[in-house]
Amino acid sequence: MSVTNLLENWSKVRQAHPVGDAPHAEYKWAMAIDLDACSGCNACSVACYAENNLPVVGKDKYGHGQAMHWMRIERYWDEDGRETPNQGAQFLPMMCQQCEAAPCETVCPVGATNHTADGLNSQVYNRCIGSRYCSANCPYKVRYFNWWDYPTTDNVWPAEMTQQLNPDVTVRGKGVMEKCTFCVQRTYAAKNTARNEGRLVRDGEVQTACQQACPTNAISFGNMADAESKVAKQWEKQKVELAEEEQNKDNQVEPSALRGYRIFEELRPYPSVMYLERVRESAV
Amino acid sequence: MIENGINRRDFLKVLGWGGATISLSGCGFTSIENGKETVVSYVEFNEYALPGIGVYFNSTCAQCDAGCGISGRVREGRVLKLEGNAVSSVNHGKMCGLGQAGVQAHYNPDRVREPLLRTGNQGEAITWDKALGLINEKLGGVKGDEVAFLTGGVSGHLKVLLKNYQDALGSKNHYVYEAVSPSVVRAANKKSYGVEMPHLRLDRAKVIVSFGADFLGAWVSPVHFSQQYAQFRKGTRPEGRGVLVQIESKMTLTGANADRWIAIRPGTEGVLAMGIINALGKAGLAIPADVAAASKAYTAERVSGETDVSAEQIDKLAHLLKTRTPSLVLAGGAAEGYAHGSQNAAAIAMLNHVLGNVGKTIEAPSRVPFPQVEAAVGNRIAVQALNDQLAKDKVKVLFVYGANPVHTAPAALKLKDNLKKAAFKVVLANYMDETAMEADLVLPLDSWLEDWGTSVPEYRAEGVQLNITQPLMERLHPDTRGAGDIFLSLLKQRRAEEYKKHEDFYAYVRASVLSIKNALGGMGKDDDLFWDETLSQGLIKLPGASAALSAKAGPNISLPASAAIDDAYPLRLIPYVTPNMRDGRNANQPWLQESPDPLTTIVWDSWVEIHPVTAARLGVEEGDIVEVTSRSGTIKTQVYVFPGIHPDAISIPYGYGHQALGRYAKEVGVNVANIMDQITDKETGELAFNETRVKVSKTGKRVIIVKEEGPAGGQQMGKKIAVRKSSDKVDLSKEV
Amino acid sequence: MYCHTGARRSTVAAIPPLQKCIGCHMTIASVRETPRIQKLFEYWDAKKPVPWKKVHDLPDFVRFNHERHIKRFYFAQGKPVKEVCGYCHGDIATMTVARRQKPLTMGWCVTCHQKDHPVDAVSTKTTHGPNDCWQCHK
Repeated sequence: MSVTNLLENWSKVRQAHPVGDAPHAEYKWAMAIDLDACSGCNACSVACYAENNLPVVGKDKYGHGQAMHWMRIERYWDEDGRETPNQGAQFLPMMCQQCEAAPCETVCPVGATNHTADGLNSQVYNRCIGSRYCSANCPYKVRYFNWWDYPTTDNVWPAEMTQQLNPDVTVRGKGVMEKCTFCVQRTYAAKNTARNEGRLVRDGEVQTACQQACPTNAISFGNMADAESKVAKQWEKQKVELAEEEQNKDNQVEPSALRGYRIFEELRPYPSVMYLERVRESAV
Repeated sequence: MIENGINRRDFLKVLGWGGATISLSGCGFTSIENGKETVVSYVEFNEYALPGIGVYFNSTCAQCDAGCGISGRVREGRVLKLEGNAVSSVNHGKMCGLGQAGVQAHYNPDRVREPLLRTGNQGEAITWDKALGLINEKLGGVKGDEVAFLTGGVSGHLKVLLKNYQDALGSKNHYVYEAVSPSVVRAANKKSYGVEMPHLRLDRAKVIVSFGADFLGAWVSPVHFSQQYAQFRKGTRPEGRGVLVQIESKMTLTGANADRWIAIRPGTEGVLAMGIINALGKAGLAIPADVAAASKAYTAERVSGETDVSAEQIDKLAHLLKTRTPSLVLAGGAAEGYAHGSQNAAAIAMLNHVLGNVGKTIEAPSRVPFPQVEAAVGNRIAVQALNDQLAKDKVKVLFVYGANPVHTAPAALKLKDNLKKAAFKVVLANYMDETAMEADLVLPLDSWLEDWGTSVPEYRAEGVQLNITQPLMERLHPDTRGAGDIFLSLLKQRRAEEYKKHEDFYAYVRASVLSIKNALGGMGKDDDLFWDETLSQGLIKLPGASAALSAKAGPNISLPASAAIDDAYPLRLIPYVTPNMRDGRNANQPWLQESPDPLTTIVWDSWVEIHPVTAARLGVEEGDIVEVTSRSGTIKTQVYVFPGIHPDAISIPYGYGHQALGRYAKEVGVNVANIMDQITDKETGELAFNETRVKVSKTGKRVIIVKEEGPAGGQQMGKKIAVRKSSDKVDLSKEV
Repeated sequence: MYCHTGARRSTVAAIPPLQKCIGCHMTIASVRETPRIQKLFEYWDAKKPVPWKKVHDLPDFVRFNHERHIKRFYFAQGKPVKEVCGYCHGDIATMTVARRQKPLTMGWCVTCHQKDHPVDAVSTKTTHGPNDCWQCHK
């Protein structure tokens, strides 16, 4: 078995998912974020803290890079040496991209992170031993490690603040990796209700916390397997395909007039989040 | 839906349900335990609340004054998470970060739990009876005009009760104080449009030119405007994608979202507005003769010299505004915060008139049919006036509610010292903030998630709404009370006969609302049913005719020549009102402290923004601790080199530097109010927020700034991360 | 499921409120004077909640959804209650004090799932069941 043979076959296996003969089941959760609408207000980030029992780490630990924000807003400036940022800034909400071929899934020594049938990258807290290999592999750096035992750390959840904790979401202890789950507790509850009624989850029935808070409606979330859902339509209109590492529209001579793109697509993780480019008026 | 007949007293008799689940690492043979964990059941139960299923109750957010509706998820008698109330015309189901943090305001470990009486430097816990009795006692023998009330903005039934209590005491001294209110703009609006807060239609504008109005961040009603902004940006609406131009000396959140951000020399906004009118005239737009005469002197050459905005840019703006109409021009805190702020605002309003925006994107607001519940809005003159009275020993008894002037008012006023002159100070507060620390008696308040009330927001988004505030759970601390209940008790001391029929504030509100049931759309409905429906919705939409807008502004604008640079204090200080901190009231909510400032990404501290050119001249780098000194004082904070600011200015966020307010707020950052000069707008007398001049000097210390961004500092380093497309290269018509 | 009503309609089976126990027991004369029932009434008179010791206590990192199982076995497949509930809980009707009858370990749960739908490494056909860790270990 030659090395070339091995590499080619491995490449095929890694790129094989998702393909035609093992398509997604009735659900594939995906997101589309409109960067032109995103105002950078951070409401989504705070909503995520509230919904998912995220610990507040305080100044010192934040300074050590140990912040736990599953959803963070990155702020970028234009990089052409202009004297003042006269076209504003770019805000980018970044969270787990729920990659179809997630680089984090393959390297967990104990299999604590897997891919669910509805297209999410799962993080199983009780299985995680804290090797942190997954966060090393993540190109987006959206995995957050519990360096400390926050439930027993002073002033994280003092006295009455424990009552705010969401009972549907595990409170993580020390040594466990965590990340955005696309609000799995909400999708789970929605699927449960839908199943009771013998149907699938309708578009708009389940909202992630970030989507629900966003004042400009920049985030849309839904089931991409449902062709009528807003998210599916958005991906389709933007001609961005989940299983491609390079979109057809980007291979043309003329740069595409469509706004949809995915970040680090060329690394082939096949992220489930599509961003819509910010637009800036050229005539002003 | 709350069943008929269930009264709020058996709201839910709860005793915990286990709550948080901790992830245990499985160890030992089997992790199934036998009889180790205890589960506690309810005693009696409300049928509608199933353990495990959240019940949603609607109420009104009180984190700022916008009055968004919230829908709180309540499980097992605890409110866990707040969402927006889809029915509210203010926010249509959306929320900002501040609103989300409301649960932290409620569960905060540093809440005041019992009435506290000052004994020396300590607070001694006393009973409510004793506290209320003491107030009655201290009011005896005091004349009505020696009693003063300092509150934040109030509306709804609490305002009615408060007014009645003031009447009962014979006091006309109600100071309504808002530290970050757009009061100069309100006055200018009144002159120009006939109303203080016209109804704005961002979603109908093709162009928005905002002179520092941070409508996406902290101005007036951010969630509402954000939604209109989202419509504004949609390429698929009939007007097409809108263009936002932001003109300010320091980049706000809204400025970061602008298509064109223009750094303007501080204070010259009015000059630029006049220059744009001049350019519009030159470009061929029909301008009334008197306005044309007034703007004649503002040639492009003169204006660009004064404002630091190039003539070319002024022309471009004029061209943009002439060809894309309707537009909307806004005057924000940046423009109004000067001694000539009123003039700035007037010039900007004139621009709206010239462009024909009045009636198109600037509309008449709906009139509140019941003026007694209409919002009493605050300004900063209130605290100045109170301070004067205190200094003259004219105030014997002072009530403070919903305001923290000791922290937010400029130290130059010496308010803390003057407060000592009042013999008896009662502060109604949720936390021991700086003002409560000066009190003689502190009355602990219910949080807004445990309280009853009504409110009418000042900014009427789409018609008038009477917002309902109802408790989402039993009160956490048995000895706190709602402000309404407190004032009702005090009223009963004075007017027992009139008020004894109201058992508590809830009964009072219910009776009042039901008494005008017919006018509220409840004609023919059963009282209980109407009340339940109201509570279920969380608001009542009031019928309201619109007020009229006036014709135009008079062209009597007199803008000062550019002030000479003061060599001793060469830089302009711009205190920045951040979306999360605002006037500092939310500093004790850790989620907000940990939420990075969108522009600088700094957390848990304040900073001073300095332009790279100025920083180079001063010889400072990021992280240097510098002393920022004005004529009124000096503070020390860390430098953040920031390109989004005019080189003549520096900016420090407002609302930090608490000396009290709890563990999450205390000593985080510095209080810029300590160095603000007490300079006022000539016309209105309002504090001119941006008039302070400072000098910056190094201390030799340097720290590593704790912030979200990495060393690259917002550079994408050639990677296609947050990408931007030019509008002429994008096809928005095909979007969903 | 008159008592643990959450089992068929919520994420947690729930302990019924004391009110419910009393509702029946105040009419059952035959056991009214037994020591445990007396204790129950003592709690009721004092309006104090009963601190029950959990019998079927799964670790906190397991979230078991009764509803799906009841909906499948009782409502959809029409199996008798004794079998549906009894498979995991034993015959409660015969117990004075409830005791755990089955191991309730993960392996034991998975065995049942393996019966009709063996777990397949590459199967993406099921959106539920043991193939997806997140179903129970969110």
